[in-house]
Amino acid sequence: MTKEISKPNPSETLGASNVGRRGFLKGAGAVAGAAAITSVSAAPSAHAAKAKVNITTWMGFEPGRKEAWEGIIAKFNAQSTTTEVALSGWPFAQYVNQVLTGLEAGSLTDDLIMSTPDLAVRLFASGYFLPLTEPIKAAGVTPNPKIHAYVTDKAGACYGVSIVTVNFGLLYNSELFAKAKIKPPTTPEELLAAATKLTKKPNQYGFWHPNIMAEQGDFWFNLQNWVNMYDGVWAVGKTPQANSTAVVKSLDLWLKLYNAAIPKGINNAAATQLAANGRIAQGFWVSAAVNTLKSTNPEVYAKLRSVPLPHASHKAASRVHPISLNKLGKNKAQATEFLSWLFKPENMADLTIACLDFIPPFPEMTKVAKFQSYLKDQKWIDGFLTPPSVPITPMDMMGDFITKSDEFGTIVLTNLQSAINKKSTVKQAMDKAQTELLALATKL
Amino acid sequence: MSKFVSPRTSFKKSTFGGSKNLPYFLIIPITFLIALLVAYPIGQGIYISLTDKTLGAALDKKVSFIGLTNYIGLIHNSAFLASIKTTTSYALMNVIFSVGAGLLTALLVNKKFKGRGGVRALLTAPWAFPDIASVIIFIWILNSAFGVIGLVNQHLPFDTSGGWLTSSPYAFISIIGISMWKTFPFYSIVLLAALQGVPEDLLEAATVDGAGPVKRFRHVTFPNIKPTLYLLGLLAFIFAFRQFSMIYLTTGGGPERDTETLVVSVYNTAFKYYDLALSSAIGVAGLIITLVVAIAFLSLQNRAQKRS
Amino acid sequence: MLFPLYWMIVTAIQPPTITLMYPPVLYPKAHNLDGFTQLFHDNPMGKWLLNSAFVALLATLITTSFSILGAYALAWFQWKGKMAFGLMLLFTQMLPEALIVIPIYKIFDQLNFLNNLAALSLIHAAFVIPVGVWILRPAFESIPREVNEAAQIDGCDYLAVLRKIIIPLCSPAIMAVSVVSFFASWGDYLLAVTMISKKELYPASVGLASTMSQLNTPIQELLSGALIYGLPPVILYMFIQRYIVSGLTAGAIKG
Repeated sequence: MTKEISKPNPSETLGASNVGRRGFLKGAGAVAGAAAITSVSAAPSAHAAKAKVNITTWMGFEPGRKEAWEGIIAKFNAQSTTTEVALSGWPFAQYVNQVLTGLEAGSLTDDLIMSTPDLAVRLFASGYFLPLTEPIKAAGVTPNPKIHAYVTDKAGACYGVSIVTVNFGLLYNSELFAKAKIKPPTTPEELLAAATKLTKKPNQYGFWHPNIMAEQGDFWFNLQNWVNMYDGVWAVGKTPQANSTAVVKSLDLWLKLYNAAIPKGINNAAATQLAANGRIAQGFWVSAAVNTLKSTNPEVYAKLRSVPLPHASHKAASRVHPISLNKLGKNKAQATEFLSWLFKPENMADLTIACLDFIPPFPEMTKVAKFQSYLKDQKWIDGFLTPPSVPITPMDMMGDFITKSDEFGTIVLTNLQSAINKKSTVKQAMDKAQTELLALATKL
Repeated sequence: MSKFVSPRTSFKKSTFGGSKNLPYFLIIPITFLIALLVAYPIGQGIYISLTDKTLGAALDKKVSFIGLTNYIGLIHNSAFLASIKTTTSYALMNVIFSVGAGLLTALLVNKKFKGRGGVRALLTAPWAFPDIASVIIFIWILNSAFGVIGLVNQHLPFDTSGGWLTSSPYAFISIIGISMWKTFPFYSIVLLAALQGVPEDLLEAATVDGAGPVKRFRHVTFPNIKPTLYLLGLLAFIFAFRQFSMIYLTTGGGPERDTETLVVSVYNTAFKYYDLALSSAIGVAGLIITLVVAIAFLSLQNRAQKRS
Repeated sequence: MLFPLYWMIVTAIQPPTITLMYPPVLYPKAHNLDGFTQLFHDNPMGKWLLNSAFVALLATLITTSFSILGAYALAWFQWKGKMAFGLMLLFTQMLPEALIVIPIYKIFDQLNFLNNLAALSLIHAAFVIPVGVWILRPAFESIPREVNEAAQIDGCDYLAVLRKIIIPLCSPAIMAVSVVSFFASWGDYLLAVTMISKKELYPASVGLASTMSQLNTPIQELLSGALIYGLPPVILYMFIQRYIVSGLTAGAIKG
């Protein structure tokens, strides 16, 4: 069954499920392997004016980002005579599953794929990406080697460039803090105290952290970062550390916050509503979420400020979301044309600004004047900047389990439920998780 | 006269509509559809269960045939055994409570009153209500922070602060409650019709003999509605066994697999643990259970028919 | 009983600032139709509803016609393999679709049926036909065999018997089958979400579920969606529930 995937099936092109009715351009042809991609746009056939390139992503479902991406794409489409780009994909909660299923079955033939850090590592290791040497060179940029390390092969070729890099920081509602006359916390203990003080259930909650299994992806990537509170890591190499002192201590803190200050059982959408209405005082939001808050309620957005994560080392997970060329795609030349355009510092800056992000994937972007003035304008950015924040990557925290991060997360979260339900202590729950994780290690 | 007309006797054999092979032609569409969309996938599922296929595996990773390894692993797999237990209790609870509530309602409403048709229509509307809409409503009602269930929570003698959908045993109770809400109205109208089929004169005779309502029910009503009760019991069982979206989208199989029925387990194993082969093995186990129950039901039905 | 439906309506018309309050108030304090307008503005809800309607109507057509044929074969004739056919139907009726959803996905992929609403109707039909046959068979069986002789005198064959006598006489049961099929298809989530991955092709069940995970879908919008999506089958049900009961109990009482 895997044999279906390595050979593009001719009937799929005719079926044209993803390429669209006009997509019969003979592009650069199906290039197997990591050879250089030809940049010749073959002569358009009689039918088609422009080749359609789809980007599989979850951005089309995110408020603020959807408009940013559509704007950028419209700009590209207007200036290209050979290529038309469109967004496709699924909401975040289903995204990883749909992508994995689609690639597995060979039916996901969109030319460009965006990934979360964990998904990127998995897809890169499985060979679904093509190197981006050409568009990177054409745009004249040098992607930051540290954050792109895990999608770079031994020869130094980069297989994904981050279009959204986010940091964790402690975002808080300055008005609520001022009213309660407390300062933003700088230690875990202060965090718990502040959160508890700012909680007046049910109208006001002192802290937000995703906590439902129905949105496991969000739950896990937030909890993944959480162990930084006491300098824990989830695994070292092939050895899981779920029941290590640091991890258990961090999760104990989380559980205390959960019971004292976090609105239980609500999903991200409802939490965003609450925060936008000024009813959540603080949270470890990724910088990415701020855009949603802004578009939901600009008044509260104006009151948001940030400090680095409240622990001594200020380590915060930095999450890189690369865009990559899909090996199963059909219009590689056109997709490359889009990437070459997108990676130009001015265009990337436009996209980043529109998305309310600020971490550049390559240093050339910091020289764009528009970007520099934009940075100065964002009042909420301080806690997310490096320094004072010390970025680490999920790789640093997950060891060899990075290619099975989702399964790891499922085991941790499922076992954590027993502690949440007061059926066992966190230590007991994590001991159990550790056993299951050791079994997972054998599959690495 | 025999119950069935033998095609050989009555009609002209030359016309298609009279040929003795007509039944075989009649069932071609159904058989073709089911063969393609049910039988063949089952075959594929069986095949996958004998391999080590995972989701999102590397492009060049070969899928190897590992025979019954997955099944042998299942026998010792505590999660799998737990899911069987969960499925059985969920199904049984559903049968008892949904059919029971249906019966009680039917008995209560079994008096003629004006507008009964309208009341009946309104009360049984949940049956027509689509699953996703029910899911959305109940997630909202049972929401720990803001759900209207909060008005009830404070009067309860037990602590539900962990959330109706996110803590045990309330998650399990919730999913039973939701399926009850959806199905018992329908069972009640079927039972109502059945109750009305109980011969009036038998009931009158029993009353004359001095039998109270309970005795009347036990000796007259119940035997008459028994076939209906069995049928609804089977329907309730099938409904619970098949149920996916109303469990998965409300509790996700949690907390901690409390509400992970067999069906939810198949889905989770594939899409959360990314183990397609094991998921298919669990699926095949489910198929075997289905087959056993189907055969058991058919033979019971045959025996009942032979007796009557 | 009806409280959940009532609560849905209340939440759909109340602004979220009031809804996200505690303690919740049982009657709507304020109301607006913003939820509905936002819903249609942010999502192609109209298209989603049309998709659902298309799939459900097509599935109903297929189910009803196939079920009539199958029930006729089982009810009217004696033939070898009847038991096996009946078992196959019962098995399919009991079979949880979730168990084989992944292999069905693969087949659809091979046949290029993915993102194809008509193909989705087919798979819906496959799972509802057993119920259809199960409802129609006793209804057909209840018609006396004497009609065969009457038809023979008129020069009709078995197909004419079906067309002219059985179908008209059993129309309540047939209507019940159509309704059951429509509901099953309209309400399906799992098969739809697996086979349809393009946003504009989503049936309303999948579309609504996708808005659940969107970051800015307020509760009002979500429940407005549930209301609009849940309303057609309920209204349909109101009109014909009399026929459903008679059609379904025709089978149930006989056991």
